[in-house]
Amino acid sequence: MSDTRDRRDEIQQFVERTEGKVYPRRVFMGMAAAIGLAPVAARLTPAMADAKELVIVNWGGDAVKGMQRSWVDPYLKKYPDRKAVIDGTGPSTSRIRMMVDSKKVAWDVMDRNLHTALEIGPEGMLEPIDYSIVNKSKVRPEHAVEWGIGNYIYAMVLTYNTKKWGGMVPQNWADVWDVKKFPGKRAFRREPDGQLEAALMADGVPYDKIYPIDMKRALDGLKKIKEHSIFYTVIADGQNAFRNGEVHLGLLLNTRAWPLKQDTKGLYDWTWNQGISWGACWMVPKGATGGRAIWDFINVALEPEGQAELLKTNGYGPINPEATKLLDAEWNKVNPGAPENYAKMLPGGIAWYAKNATKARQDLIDALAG
Amino acid sequence: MLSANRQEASRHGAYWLIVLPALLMLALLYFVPLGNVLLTSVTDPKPGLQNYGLLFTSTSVQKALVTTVRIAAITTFFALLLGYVVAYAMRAASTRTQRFMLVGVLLPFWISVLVRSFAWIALLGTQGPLNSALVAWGLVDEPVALVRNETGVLIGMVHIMVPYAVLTLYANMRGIDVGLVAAARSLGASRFQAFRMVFLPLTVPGLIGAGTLVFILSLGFYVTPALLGGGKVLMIAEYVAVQINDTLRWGLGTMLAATLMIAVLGCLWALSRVIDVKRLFGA
Amino acid sequence: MNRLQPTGIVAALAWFILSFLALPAFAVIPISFTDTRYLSMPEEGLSLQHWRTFLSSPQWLGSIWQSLWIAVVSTVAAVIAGTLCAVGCWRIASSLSDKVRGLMILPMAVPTIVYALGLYRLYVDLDLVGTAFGVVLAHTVTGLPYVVLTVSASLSNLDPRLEQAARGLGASLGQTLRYVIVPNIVPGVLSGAIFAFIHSWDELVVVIFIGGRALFTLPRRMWDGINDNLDPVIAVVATGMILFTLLVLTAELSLRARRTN
Repeated sequence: MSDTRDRRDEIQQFVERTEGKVYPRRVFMGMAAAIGLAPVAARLTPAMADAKELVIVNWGGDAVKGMQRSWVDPYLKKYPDRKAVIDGTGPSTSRIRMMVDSKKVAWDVMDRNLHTALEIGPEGMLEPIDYSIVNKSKVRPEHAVEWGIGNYIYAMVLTYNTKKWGGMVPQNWADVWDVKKFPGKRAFRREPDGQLEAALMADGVPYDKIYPIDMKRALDGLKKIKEHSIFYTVIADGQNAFRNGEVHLGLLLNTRAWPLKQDTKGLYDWTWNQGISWGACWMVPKGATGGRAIWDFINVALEPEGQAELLKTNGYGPINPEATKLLDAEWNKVNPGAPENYAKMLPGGIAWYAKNATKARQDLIDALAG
Repeated sequence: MLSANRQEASRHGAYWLIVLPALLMLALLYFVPLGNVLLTSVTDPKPGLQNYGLLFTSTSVQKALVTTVRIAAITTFFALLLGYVVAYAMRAASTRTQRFMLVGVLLPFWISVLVRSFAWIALLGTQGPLNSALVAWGLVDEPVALVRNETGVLIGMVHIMVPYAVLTLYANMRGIDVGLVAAARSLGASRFQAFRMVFLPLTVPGLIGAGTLVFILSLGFYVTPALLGGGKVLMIAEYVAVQINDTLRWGLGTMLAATLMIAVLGCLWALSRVIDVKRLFGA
Repeated sequence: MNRLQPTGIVAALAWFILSFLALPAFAVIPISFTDTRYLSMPEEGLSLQHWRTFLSSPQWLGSIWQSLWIAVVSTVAAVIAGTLCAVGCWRIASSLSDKVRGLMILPMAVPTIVYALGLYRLYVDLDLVGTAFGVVLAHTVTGLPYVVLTVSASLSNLDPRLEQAARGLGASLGQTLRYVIVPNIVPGVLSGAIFAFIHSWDELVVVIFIGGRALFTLPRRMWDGINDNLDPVIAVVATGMILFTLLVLTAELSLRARRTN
């Protein structure tokens, strides 16, 4: 008997030392079975322990800490007998498809955006949101769709140098396109969402005529400004280009424009005017095994308290308008979900992107290349 | 005679045996899973060869391919040129100097490709120290755009590839009997003649090996062009990554991968026609 | 006389090129001492805060160790298999063995992301997703081409009659390899080893796809949250590696000097 216990300790230590990851589980189980300890091994390998854990997937970095504090902790407080963990490795479309195709779905709920949900949901990649449990009245109607429900608001905003042009600052995209009035390098993202809208607004298209997007007109606009611009692929790199003085105006996410303003002590600022607002959202991969816990978690994450908290820690705009009331005037200045800011912006056309994102991205990339 | 043949065969048999581990690993862990995915190129979105048709009809695909080959070729040229000078100097230097040079060649490896790109932006950007110096010395009026364009991509890629070229060339040069060069000199050849007529021809296999390595690696660059190209230089690896990461058009992405693979195989084959294969890979 | 006589110009050019290679290090080292919270040159003064973060972070140190041993194991495996393969092909020197060698370097030509998709499918079946063992296997296979290529280039200057002579004198295959062939191709084997090591050390895409949620090698740690911030810790890691290399070299050189004295 004592022999068995010793061996069990050995296995325990082995698993701890290796986090159960050094050897493939199958090999490990085989080894354990060979020395007659299969049941013990089964209890010790993490793969088994994880079975009932809710896995929330986001993009890593500060978002892991922020979402843990604002959403996961309150969820675990409300349901003390449950488990949840944040996986910050990024739910890219490729990884979602790979996992869904493999029929072994380890993820339960993913942090993406509404237009992606509408794009890949009908392709069989997602479970529809169960609105018999999820309370959609907590968000604006445009933020609750069949394949996803909003979790926070982000915006693409006109960001500019406040001192470069002798007190004059760009007010709208037409100014950004005016290289005589505002000389200097521009920055945009090398993605269609936001840049196409900005180009159309610069060309005088009113909000209600932006969608469906006239691709030719939008790309012609971008080609006009191309020589004077850089197009970043890594968002922090775009922020970096502003900060080190490479670029003087352009488009940046509000979550990056705010730290930029702080880091440069106000040398850079942004305007909500003609910003483009988007709903980040929860979506659930087809075949997710979390069941009821998924919807319970989403409901907790929509509560105004956690929503307001995440603005303070990460700059994510509360998607629940109620959260605005929990924030003072100073915080609401940086809140894209505050009604006065939200009203200034164009809500991004998620239905249009759901149908056209792939082609629009390709056309944009081609227009910029070469 | 027969027994000699059999003996020869059995000796080769032993050599096939030592080829086998690598070959098996490659087959089971590379070609099987890869083949599995490449099938997607003829099944997604629907069965057929329409993805391959894009090679002939899509200007976007063609442009990315041309850009990639052009940039890879320029990178290979400069990496070989710079690498040859360093490898040659190393071959000629004392053991001690050689070691210092070797460290100089190896050090950049420790700075990840990602970090290197940001370092170039910091050094060569319009607000960077180099441009400040150029403007201060009055060499230029306006800062020069050295990054966020094709120039930046080339600087970054050549920098990454030079160590590969140096090490491959140096490995080859180490095996050369420099007594031959000395003999040529003693027969009255000038330094340059001795180099051109004796040393350079002996390094051709090294040049081809290094060139193949650098060119093939350059075809696959992704992070460097994305960061240093200002979003305007699209190479094929990034093109493939966009199709696979951001869209569901896996058929197009995998088609391009298959095309690259076939193209490289074709190039190697063509190379083996032009140059004696035995010189390309030794023997 | 067994040395080339370089002209001063060539040596000067070579040192100039080497200083070009060293340029990023001159940016990375000061950046690692930045007083800001983002990747930039120090603004108001030097700070050790990012060194402290790095040295006190089990995540960063854990990633370094993980990357290190994954790279070492996969390099050793790739070097052994790759060298044997290159030598075998060199000796056989038939059109079939030439084709084998061509095949061996194909993995360098295929965009990694496409391979990673296939590998994921295979690893789901084998239950290898999220295991370091799975990453080691993948890095071994994708490291092979480097070894085969550099060793082959090195063998190109070796006279095959050497091998025939050794075998003719009754040396076994193992002895021939150990005493005749390998000593003559050491530079090629070492270059291949360095390339294979760096390939694993810097490899991101395969790890993203098959690393599951727990396996964070160094490159993956660097990409983690890259959109939030360009964390100066990535400059600290690079600087640490440079200093470590220089330290090892100095130690070795002084040891040598003592021995020759």
